Amino acid sequence: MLNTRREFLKQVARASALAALSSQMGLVYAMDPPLEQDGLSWQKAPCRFCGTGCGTMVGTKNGRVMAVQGDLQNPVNKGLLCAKGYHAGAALYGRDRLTTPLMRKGNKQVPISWDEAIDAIAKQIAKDPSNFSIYGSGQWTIPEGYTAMKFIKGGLGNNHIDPNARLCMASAVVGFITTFGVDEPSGCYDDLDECDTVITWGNNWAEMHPVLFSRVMNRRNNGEKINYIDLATRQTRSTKAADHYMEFVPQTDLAIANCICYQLLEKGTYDKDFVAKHVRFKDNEKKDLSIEEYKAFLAEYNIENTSKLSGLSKEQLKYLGDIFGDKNKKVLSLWCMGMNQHTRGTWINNLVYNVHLLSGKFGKPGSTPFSLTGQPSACGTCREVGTLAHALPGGRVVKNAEHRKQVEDVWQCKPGSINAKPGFHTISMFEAFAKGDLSSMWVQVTNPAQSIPNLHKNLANSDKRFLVVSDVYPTVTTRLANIVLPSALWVEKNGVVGNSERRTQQWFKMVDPPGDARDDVWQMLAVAHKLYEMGFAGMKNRNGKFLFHMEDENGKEIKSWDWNVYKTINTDKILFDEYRQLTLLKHKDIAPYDEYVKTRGMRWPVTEQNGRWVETKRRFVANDDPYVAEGRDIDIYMAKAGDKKAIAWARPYNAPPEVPDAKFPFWLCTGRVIEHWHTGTMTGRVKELKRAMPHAYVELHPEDARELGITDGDMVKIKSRRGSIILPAWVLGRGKPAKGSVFVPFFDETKLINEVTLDAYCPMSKEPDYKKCAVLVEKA
Amino acid sequence: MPITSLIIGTAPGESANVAQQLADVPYVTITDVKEDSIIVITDTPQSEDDKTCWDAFTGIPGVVSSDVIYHNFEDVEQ
Repeated sequence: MLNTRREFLKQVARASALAALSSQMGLVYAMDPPLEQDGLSWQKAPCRFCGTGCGTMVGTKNGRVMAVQGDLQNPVNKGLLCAKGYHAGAALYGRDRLTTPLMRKGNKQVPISWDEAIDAIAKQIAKDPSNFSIYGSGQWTIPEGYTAMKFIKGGLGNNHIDPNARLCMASAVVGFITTFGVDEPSGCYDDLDECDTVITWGNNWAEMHPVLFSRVMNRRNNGEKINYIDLATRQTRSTKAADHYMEFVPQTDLAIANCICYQLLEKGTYDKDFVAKHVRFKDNEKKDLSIEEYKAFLAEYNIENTSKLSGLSKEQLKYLGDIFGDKNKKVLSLWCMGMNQHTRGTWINNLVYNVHLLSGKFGKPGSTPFSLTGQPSACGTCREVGTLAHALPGGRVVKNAEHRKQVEDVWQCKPGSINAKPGFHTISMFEAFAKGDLSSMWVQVTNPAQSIPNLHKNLANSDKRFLVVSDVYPTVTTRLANIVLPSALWVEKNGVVGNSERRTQQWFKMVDPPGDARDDVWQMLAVAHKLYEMGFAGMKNRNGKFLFHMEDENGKEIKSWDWNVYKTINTDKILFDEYRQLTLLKHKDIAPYDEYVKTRGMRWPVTEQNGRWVETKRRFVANDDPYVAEGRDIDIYMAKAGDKKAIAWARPYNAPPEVPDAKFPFWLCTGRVIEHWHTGTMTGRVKELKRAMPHAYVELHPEDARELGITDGDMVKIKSRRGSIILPAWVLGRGKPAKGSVFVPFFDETKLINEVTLDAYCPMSKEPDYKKCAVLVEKA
Repeated sequence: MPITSLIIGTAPGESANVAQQLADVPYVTITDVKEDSIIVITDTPQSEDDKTCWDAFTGIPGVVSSDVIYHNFEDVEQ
């Protein structure tokens, strides 16, 4: 019987692969044998990990996830998955899942009941509600983030909520808003299928977004000619596929982008019609510039000067200028953390837009700038719901009285409930927690004690404050907590997320969470209702009802705070449809919840046309985006000046705050690896992934290693002005950093590289720069 | 004992050579060889061996991509 079943599963596995292969060729064949015949129950769910938003099919039996396969019907991945994706199911079953609430008593965390935990948290918040904070995540589902935001901004009247997405895409957000007047990209993944040139700006997509990388490489394998330019500070797996590798001095991407713009204007190869119709120019003081004044600003970024500054050859710079100056080329720019985690992250986002706006390579199939996102719902939850210290749902901000009123009306809060003063952004939030300006913090779905930069400084005294942590496994953050709440993970709960290409995707709960673990949404609702029972005014709406009042179809109140009731209803649907009312202001329209149940997601704005809900492939583009005015080919309809034009900003090169010197002579760059998701708390529990990448390492250039007398496996000390760690060396490993620089991944909780990193951040986006600081490297 | 299917993308004209080398990797069954891709099934005794196989594929000359499609781990204890 065993052999029979195994042989049958192999047939299913083969059929899946054949179907995926045909799907990549634009054909979709039914599988033979169909998935359902393997005895498992199969349902769709987007992958739990990165911002790509791949569709998976999850096979369950007897209350347990048994198999995962790429979802052939999902247009994001067309059946493909990366190593993390196909282990997403196994990540649920680590032996040390948190299964009961814990409370610190003395030096120990001891099990307590949910009632005790909820009571203790509510009492602590009631003592000092204005100095309570929430630190959340781009891994929050949309309903989770929406609930947390309503809890703190509507219920407590403070704005001290920020997500870990501040650490990964805040610069992209401010870049979009300053250039286009509104956040999130015009382009989409279809552009991967139509470009003829790809430029990655400091992005190792072969490891970080491998399915998108495969999507382009598969075109190449099918004989299409695609020119790939890897503009980077370190050779990676992506470099191996590149036609051109261009290695630049860290931070000089600012100058390189300006140099491309200079060449376009100097040679007259810019798109004059596009620029006249769709672009205006401004300097750093927001003063309008003529195109001649802008060109004069760019003059210092001529090829000669830029070559000296950036380390790129004159030929390489000229090549980039010519690529963008060629009207026939369809150029797709991609970037992620390399540009966003940058002390001038907003500026470099603006400058890459400048390059595309000047060249007219914007909003055209395969020819557009496209910002990739790191987390599964950094876009859907943090950017669209707006779980940031200054934001409100749908692109609103707390400083705007009309925006506050609109949200208060939907939430049925008493007028004036929402505070006009922005709260602490991530780095300032942890500084305030360390100083005692914040008395308590609730962390959900993230692990800041590993991921915040400059840990010694930013986590000082955190064990002396009141810290609540909701998580699925023990982490370095849960170890600091006064109260630990065990959470449900991925398909143990309902969810809705939004990916990099504005695609909103939904899934249903498929298995129960282990032990007494419970949904993050429920945890927040339960504490909110406890406050309501205690008479806390903010948790009553303007009609005296619970702030999160929900009713069934008969008008009867749903006791969502009661776990036994909660687990029988779909609160996601109620919360999502409430949130949906707030998405229309800036044309980020989403469809009703039930529409997402039927589909593999839809890209907003989603509008009802002739009784059908229709997604938007390319935003701001005629015949696709319904908000484009008639007669316009491109319509930047949220331009702040109302002129429907994007802004090309004159942003200068700006040196990084810390550069190598005699005492700390190396650049340090940090990042991720393909096997592990962020701080490794989930992927570290999957044996296959743990074995494939068991611990962090320091990657050195072979010449540097030789000069320092270091060989593979030697223990190496990395020391900065802030701290030091010891790691094994990897000299001829997966990547090769530039001479004079080293790379260390941050997934390993036993080797905390963030004790070394700098917490300087972009002054506009407040996103810290994890990609460059100065360190000493020596054999330990 | 996980069962996994993968599509191995190959450089033009390399699929036959790659298939020969894939056949030497333990726990691998080749089910289909196309012009620029190969479908393989891995049936490994331990879950840890699964990723070892996957890594071995990417080291074979002529392999340009390796995409996992289906992963069944119903009898694996984490």
